Amino acid sequence: MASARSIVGKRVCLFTGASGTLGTAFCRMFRTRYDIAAVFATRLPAVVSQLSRPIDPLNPAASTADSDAVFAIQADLLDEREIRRVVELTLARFGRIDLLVNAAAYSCWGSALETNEVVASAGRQFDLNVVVPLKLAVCVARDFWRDRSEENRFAGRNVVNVSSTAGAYVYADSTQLVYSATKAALNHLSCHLAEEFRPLGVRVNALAPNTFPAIVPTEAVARGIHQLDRQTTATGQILVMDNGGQVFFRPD
Amino acid sequence: MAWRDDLGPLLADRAWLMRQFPFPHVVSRRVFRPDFYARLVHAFGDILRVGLEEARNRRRLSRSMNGYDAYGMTFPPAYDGPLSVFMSRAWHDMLSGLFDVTCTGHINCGIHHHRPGSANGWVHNDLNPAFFVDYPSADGINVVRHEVCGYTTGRVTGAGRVARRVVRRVAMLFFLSNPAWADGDGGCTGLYAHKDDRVDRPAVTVPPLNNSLLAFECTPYSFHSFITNRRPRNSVIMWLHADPSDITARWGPDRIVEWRARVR
Repeated sequence: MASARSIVGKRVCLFTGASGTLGTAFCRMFRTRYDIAAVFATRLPAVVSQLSRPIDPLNPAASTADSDAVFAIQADLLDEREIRRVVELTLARFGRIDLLVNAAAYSCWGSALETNEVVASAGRQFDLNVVVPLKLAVCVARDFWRDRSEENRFAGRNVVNVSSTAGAYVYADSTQLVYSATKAALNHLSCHLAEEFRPLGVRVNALAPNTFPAIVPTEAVARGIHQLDRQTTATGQILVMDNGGQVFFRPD
Repeated sequence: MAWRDDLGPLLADRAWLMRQFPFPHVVSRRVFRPDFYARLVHAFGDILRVGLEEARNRRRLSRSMNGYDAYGMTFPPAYDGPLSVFMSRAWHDMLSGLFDVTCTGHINCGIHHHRPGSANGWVHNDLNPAFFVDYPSADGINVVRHEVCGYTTGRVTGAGRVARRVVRRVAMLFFLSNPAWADGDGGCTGLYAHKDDRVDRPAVTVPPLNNSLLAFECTPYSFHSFITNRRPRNSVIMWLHADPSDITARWGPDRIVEWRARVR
């Protein structure tokens, strides 16, 4: 078991939804500060990884070594075996997990009365947006965090669940009824999981941005993840990011 | 045109990515500088504004590809607008250099437009023969001339012409003039590990992001397909070509996939 003193090098981040808009921004902005296990479904992350090396189109023979490549893991997170595999691969590659970011999400917007798709996809939306974050956090806790409470506190280990203001507010636009319900559930899940993980020394928070990049710059949301990671005490909180700034919120 | 000699000033950055999974391919999400990309969009818009035609028409975006649910148009050799950057010697050599392959200078370059709801394509590797009638050119680039020689058949019109058989060697897609893409919009290019993979279950997808590019060497394993779309999808598509003996030397005999008629 590693001691607090033996933790050296960059922090290790397991990031789901790494090929999305936010995942791409986070990987680009922070790959020099984190060793990132970048989980993707079918779109390879748009950053250097063990599957992607940089190439200069005008000088393709030039050397392309990159010490900050992310570790890309393809996985269908709706398959429980894949969740276990993702955690195992990350631990095998980096030896620990300091930050779990649940950013993978699925949304289907529309009228529940006018289309079949919204109701038909509701289960999938809840599975990916709520249950998968829970399963991943529990898997990491069982496989690594559970018996390392002192080390976890020293290392500031935590979970950031990427939610949305759609889970905090009820917008007039009803076409996101299922999506917003999943994000509201994720907010509550995060607050409750924070209490369950408190004895482990692991913090749990949610990040709830408004639409990015249209209303909140994507880079600001990525920095919000980093900000929550660097917080030493915040747990069970929802960091809301909107065009007027940001505020911590808790549905007490 | 300036870009025939030097692509450097046109490119937004030179940090493209060479990926290995499920087969080697190159992507870039920011190919051209904004000002030049705007010129490409404007030129593409001029072509789109002429309209779409259901019957085959080489001068317009039309249903010109049997079995493929898209409108296409090939640029003639005389085309000299901004999109001709893709037909330049500089672009040809840049693309072939990405994969360290020797190409002959034969180019087939055009544009595709997929209406929303276009049908899935089929999983294929693009390692197909192609036919050109060679003509003298200052930079050694031979642009396809469908009216002179059938690209897939080798049938020539006019006396004294000889069709030269080459093989597709590098394929490229450049996406432009598309609505802002979000997960669920479809229109991706699927990349597959196996020839018999389901077209709706690719190993990897490449989304049609504006000003982005996908390129790959055509090999027996470069399996790819268009995947159905909910929003319009526009692209420049082109192939470089090589001598068939290169394929035989690299992959062995009988790896070139002869054309088959497809019915949509």
